[in-house]
Amino acid sequence: MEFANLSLTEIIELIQNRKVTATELVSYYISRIQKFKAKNAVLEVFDDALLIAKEKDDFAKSNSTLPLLHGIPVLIKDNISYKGHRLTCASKFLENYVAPYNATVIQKLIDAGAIILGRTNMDEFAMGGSTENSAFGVAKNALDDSRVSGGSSGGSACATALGLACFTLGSDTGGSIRQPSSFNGVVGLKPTYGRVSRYGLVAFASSLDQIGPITKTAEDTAIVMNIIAGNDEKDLTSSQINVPDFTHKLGNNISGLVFGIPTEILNLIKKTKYFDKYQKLFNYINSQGGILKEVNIPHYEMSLPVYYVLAPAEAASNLGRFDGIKYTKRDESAYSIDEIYSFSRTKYFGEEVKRRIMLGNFVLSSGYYDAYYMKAKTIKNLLKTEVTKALDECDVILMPTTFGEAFKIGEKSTDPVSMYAEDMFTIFANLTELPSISIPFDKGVSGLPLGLQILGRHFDEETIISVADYFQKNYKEKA
Amino acid sequence: MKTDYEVNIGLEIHAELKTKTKIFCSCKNSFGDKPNTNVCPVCIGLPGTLPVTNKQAVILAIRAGLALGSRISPHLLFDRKHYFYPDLPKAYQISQDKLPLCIGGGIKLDSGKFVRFNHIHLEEDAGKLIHDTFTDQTFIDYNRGGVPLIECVTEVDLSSAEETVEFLTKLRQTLIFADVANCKMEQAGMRCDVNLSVKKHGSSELGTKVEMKNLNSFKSVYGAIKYEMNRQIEELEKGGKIVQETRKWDETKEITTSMRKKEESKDYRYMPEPDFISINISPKDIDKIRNTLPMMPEERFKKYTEEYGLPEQDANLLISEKDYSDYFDNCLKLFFEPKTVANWIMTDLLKLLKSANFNTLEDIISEEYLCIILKLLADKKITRPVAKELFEKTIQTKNNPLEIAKTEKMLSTISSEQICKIVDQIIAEKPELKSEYKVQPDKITNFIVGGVMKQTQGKADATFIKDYVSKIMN
Amino acid sequence: MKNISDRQIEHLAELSALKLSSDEKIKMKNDLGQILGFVDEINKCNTAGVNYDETEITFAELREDKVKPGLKQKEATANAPKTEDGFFVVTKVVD
Repeated sequence: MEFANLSLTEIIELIQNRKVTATELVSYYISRIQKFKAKNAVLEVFDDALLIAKEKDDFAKSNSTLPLLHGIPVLIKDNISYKGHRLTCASKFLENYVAPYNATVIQKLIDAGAIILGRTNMDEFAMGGSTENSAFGVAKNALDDSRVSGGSSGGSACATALGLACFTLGSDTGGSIRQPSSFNGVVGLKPTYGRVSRYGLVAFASSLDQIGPITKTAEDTAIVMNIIAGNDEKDLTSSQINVPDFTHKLGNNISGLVFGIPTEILNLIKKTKYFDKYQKLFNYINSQGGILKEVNIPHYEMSLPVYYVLAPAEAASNLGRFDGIKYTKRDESAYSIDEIYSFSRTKYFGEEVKRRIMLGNFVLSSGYYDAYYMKAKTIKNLLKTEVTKALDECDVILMPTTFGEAFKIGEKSTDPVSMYAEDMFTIFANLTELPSISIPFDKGVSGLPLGLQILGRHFDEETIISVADYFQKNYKEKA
Repeated sequence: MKTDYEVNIGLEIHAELKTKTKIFCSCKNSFGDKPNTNVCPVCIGLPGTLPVTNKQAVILAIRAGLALGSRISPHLLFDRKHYFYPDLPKAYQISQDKLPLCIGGGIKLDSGKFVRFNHIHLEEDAGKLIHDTFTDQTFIDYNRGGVPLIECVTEVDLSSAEETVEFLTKLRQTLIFADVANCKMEQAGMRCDVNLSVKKHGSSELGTKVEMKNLNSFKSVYGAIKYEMNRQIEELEKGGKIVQETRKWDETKEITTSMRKKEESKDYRYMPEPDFISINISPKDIDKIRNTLPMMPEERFKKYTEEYGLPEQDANLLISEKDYSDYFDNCLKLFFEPKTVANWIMTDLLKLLKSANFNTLEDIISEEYLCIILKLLADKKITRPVAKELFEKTIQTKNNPLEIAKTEKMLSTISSEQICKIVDQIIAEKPELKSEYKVQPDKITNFIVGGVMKQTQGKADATFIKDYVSKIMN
Repeated sequence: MKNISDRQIEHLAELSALKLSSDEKIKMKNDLGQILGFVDEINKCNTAGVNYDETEITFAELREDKVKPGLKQKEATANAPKTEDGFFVVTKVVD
């Protein structure tokens, strides 16, 4: 059986009905990962996975009820802490680091019976949009070896697309789940900020980061969210808000639902090659009883510059702990304490990471702090106010995930500003803390996937998941 | 001339709060354990970890502010203070910059001068560094990293070494009495940084200030101030200039020396801590905490002198340590004779505390046991010399003194023959008691007991009397 | 394009604990200049009177003061490049 073609939902049914064993699944995925080794999506398959699978099968023999994700193999982005296993963030600095504790989401998956199969490739410390910044080589697009898989969760998105596990986990700070999902033709959700615990996620920008699932279908997304969402006493930024059953709105149609399209976004879409494809989608929505409404986010264009002040600032702060002293490599040639710090950090951090740290320290430094950092924070609040107002008039907001298809490897990596500009559509959801899901909705000029983003009200993942599900099942690029 | 100058001193005092756990994680807050054994992923800054604020640390910090007369801020906001140093695992300290928890407040010195606090804020402590010159290495222990600290920053109100030591003594006393800190300076429980400058009398501008860090005893503070003020005055008299710098106090040579530190790299890039949402502190929260504030030394002094009539010297001695004062107060709950209790504490207990291996008064003898002895003495069931003997025996054996007194027959008793003799005598004088007993046995028994007690000043054993009466009446 | 001076690059490298080669410094100057040039857009934004009500944590939601087991000494130092007798070790820090 080709599990790679099945959704998580379908495989869960097989397991629960004892039609397949955990060992079969794990063995299947391990050999498939080997088959697609050249994609460089997976950095390591954990060598205890098969053993755990066997334990799961033994358990199944003597137990009539199985937990929801019993025996389900999952791949996790290499920035999520799994006890006793390597955690490198695709950086040379942490090449030998073994995590001594579990991230909360990992513990939740384990408690639900899942098997953590391995870790996936990413941009170093989650900084980038192509996985070209990985210290261990780029991850290739699932559909085209000459193109990037996207980033920073490039490995996870590629792995989901190729069926290297039942689903994968990624993290999203400025689009790092949604953009690679779009490039690989899979579903990626960035939950509302605070919906999923960040404990155990190596911090990039603390006020923007979220862990989320990358899956084949929206239904799969809902199942994973049911396991990983929820308040965590170890994370004071996680919300106390009630966790619903995220599958509960699946099956709803879109009749009567109001779809907000920001004017500012329309203007941007008109600059892409694909305006006609969005027009087709809008017509479809209308035909199904959905209501299109133009809304305003007057300062939308501030998103990109604001992000490139706040994210590097928090990153510079969060990455100070990597010092050549406690748990990273140390440059052997360093002698004094100052050299231990600077030689180790200079040698083992990649270029993009160093650039962002310098940028971050610039905007935090004395004399610039008010003009840059405080100003950016204020604009972030302004954007939150504007979008909250817009969401009074509509149920969801639509926008593209990216400007176009996955770009070629090497095409953007020399020019940081043009790489940053790729984040134009995704950053907004991080800054405003809204949930956003990306689904493949059409194809580009080269036949590669184009992604549609559906943003919802704070903590309303249910609605956007159900809309995503509806489009996935019913909208097949109708003429 | 030296007298042309005045000294201006401001202090930054760090005190470790006496919580059970650290400020941002659940590791034990403890001194003296093996290195890196009270640590966890959060306090050693492992990737992916997040701080979680300890409620008790906030409560104690607020209580300290209330005891020192500060205004408590309605929101608790933390900021990250960034710098690289091996004792700082995250390369930032979670501290407060924008809105300190406690604003203002101060301490009044004996001279009447009020030394003001600019503010008191909450922050986490750094780890400990041990330097080894032989091997040219520094060893890092993160046990102390994350211990909750309050930093008390004064205005530049102090003018001498004497004033500074008096201020620090009073501050220490207040923090101990407020039950927020132990202030054990030998365990780095209280550390003081001194900022000192000098200027000519009448000059409106302060002189260039010099910082002296981590002075670990009041003696060091005193010595450092005396040395440094003279050094600065001499320098200025020579026509020289004071360099703004940090200086180290050398305890053995009794001088301050310049530290080779680059001044410009002190850009801390304060940034609001993104791993917390700010914490709301309501007036109700503050009131609740105010109610847990123990009575402060000044209030206790007033009570002891005005209500209990103790002489000032005695009251001062009792409030010199929270332990003495609490012990005294607890004894009064069991045996309300302030002068007696005070005397016993000041003479007998304190003598023992200083000479032998006791840490607190309660280690010597519990309040309960001491009061049992004092009560026996007051009831004249024992004499004064016997009381002292019983006191010693109680300390040695740790047994209940009443039991000891009974066992060792230390209670002054009237003998059974004497009791029988007195009962016989009472009945002989009033023969009608025998017939009246048959009608009202209890009333007559009590009458006879009363008579015996009167003749023996209450020292007879009532049960024995009753038994004997019952025996001879039947 | 924003002009960043050599001195600023030096200062930033120090704040970042990075040691850049002269080529790297030139590239960094150029890259940061470009990025800051585009980030300077935020100055155009009028933010007077912007207010957003953040939910705060209440006192009751803070952590109870109870000791929980952490890492053993061995676990805490397992990934360190240099340790001795349970301590993390660096070259002697000169004050």
